[in-house]
Amino acid sequence: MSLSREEFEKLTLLARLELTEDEKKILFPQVDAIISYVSKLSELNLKDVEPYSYAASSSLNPGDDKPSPSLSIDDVMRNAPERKDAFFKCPRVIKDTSS
Amino acid sequence: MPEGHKGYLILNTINKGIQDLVVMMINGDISCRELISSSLNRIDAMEEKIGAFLTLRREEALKEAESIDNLPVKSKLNMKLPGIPIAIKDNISTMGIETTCASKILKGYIPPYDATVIERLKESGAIIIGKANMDEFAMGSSTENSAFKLTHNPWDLKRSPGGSSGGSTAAVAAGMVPISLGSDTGGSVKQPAAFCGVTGLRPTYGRISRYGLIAFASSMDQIGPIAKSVSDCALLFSAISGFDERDSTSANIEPFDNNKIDTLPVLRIGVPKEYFGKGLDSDVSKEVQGAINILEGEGNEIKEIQLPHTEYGIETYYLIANAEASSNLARFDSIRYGLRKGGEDLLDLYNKTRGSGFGLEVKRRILLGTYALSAGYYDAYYGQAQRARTKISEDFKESFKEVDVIIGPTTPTPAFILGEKVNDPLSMYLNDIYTIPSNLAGLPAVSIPCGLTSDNLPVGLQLIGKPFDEKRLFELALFLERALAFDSYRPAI
Repeated sequence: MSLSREEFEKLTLLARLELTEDEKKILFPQVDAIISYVSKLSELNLKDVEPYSYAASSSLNPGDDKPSPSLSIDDVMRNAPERKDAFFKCPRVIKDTSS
Repeated sequence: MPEGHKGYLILNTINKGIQDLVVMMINGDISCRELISSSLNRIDAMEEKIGAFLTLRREEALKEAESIDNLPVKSKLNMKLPGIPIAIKDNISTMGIETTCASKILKGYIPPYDATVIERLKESGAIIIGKANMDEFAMGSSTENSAFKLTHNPWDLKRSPGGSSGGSTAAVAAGMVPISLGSDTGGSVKQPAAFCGVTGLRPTYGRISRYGLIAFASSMDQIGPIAKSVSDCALLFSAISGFDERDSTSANIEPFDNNKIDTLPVLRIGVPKEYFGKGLDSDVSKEVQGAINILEGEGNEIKEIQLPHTEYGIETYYLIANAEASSNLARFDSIRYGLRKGGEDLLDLYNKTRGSGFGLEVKRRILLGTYALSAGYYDAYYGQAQRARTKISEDFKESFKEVDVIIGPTTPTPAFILGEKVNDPLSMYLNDIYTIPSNLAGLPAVSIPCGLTSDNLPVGLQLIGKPFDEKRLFELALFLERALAFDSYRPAI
């Protein structure tokens, strides 16, 4: 067992995933088993090995810093679950603690 | 439909190569509208059995076909894929066409822009027939993780087409479209191409722009072309490859030119002994070995090589890919697009939306990735995996000092039966044991069919190349395709 039930619950919170009890019954042992499986990597002595940083090509292309047209606000907002004018609407972020 | 009727002729165009189709259109033997109709007719006849598509564009595709028909011949000759129908995996953004990643969380999402590959396809004259089914967010090897439907393998409807690009490969194998696009992170083009008996390329990392590809694991994701034949795959690749300044990992080198594919030079070909060990199906081994024997008979030097860190590939991949996925999928917060559930406060909104919008495999992977990146575990898991990735990459670098191309099976087994592995994630992950290592190293690889098992299922072999050496892969693949005459086999549907 690599993962305690408590750690699993904490993971679901960190990952922002509300799970049903049925899902927890399936996922807890599976995630635990996968963690045990991938732990095999610890048997490799890689102390002096540089972590991999970038695939095949040798340089990144940051691109030129030049202005170009953006998408229209309506096009961007069309998929919003809720909107008000040109704003995305969501629950209050900062709670009112004055009362 | 009676033989001799023009419709009959068109129905048979399904099995023709793109160059032939273009010549037929230019000569006036068929119109583009007729070609698109024949593709739609084939889809109508097959889709209930196969389940390759999530979205179809009947009216729009026919309308676009008319525009192609109205172009002067000169304009069509300047296009690489004039009027050719194509299926697009549903994780590639298509302006104005629903793009769901086969997830409930993106149901109804209409991208306001095109991915770079879609822009290039439009410039090439290709016509998007529809969006293809896939494993949710490209996480899976069987397409069973789609939130919307199952896709069946045209060679045996009880079996999986592979995944995650299973809709794209099944659509080509069933003759619904001649070409399609998939995406490949751990083997999601190569593995389903092998299962469905079609050609699929996973290009060098950076060779095709990722702009507009909905991200799963950004350091490995690549869009890949799928086709019935090697030359069609190369032609599609030439239409979409090349530098794109909107993708900062795009490689600034010459686009691939399919007209520069030469006849096969004598090569040094490496056979990794780790790819022929325990777990390899005997029929798969036999067919791949048969292809190697043909190459040897042609005077190529066949050399056994070692890729000693192969056995750590799956662990390395699942740590890195899922760590990246847990970060990439944080964007699905229900604020700007996608499903919205709950909403007492922001935390409630995130938890409920993501809890009900993602499927089990996606949740499993996000949880593993979150674990690998969390305080106290980061170095032991994610850090260790990045160091192991360096070793895996060095294995290939060492081998490529001695050989030009590496050959081996694409998958350890042929297509498995639907439902067989879906509840056992670790056994599903083992499917990708031969496709993952070269992906971790950013290398190009093409999977082509090389024979049939005793159960009449296609066997795929993969050719892995040096960075940006797709040309050589296509040359070798084209030679093998002719030598093995696989195109004479068709699924019996």
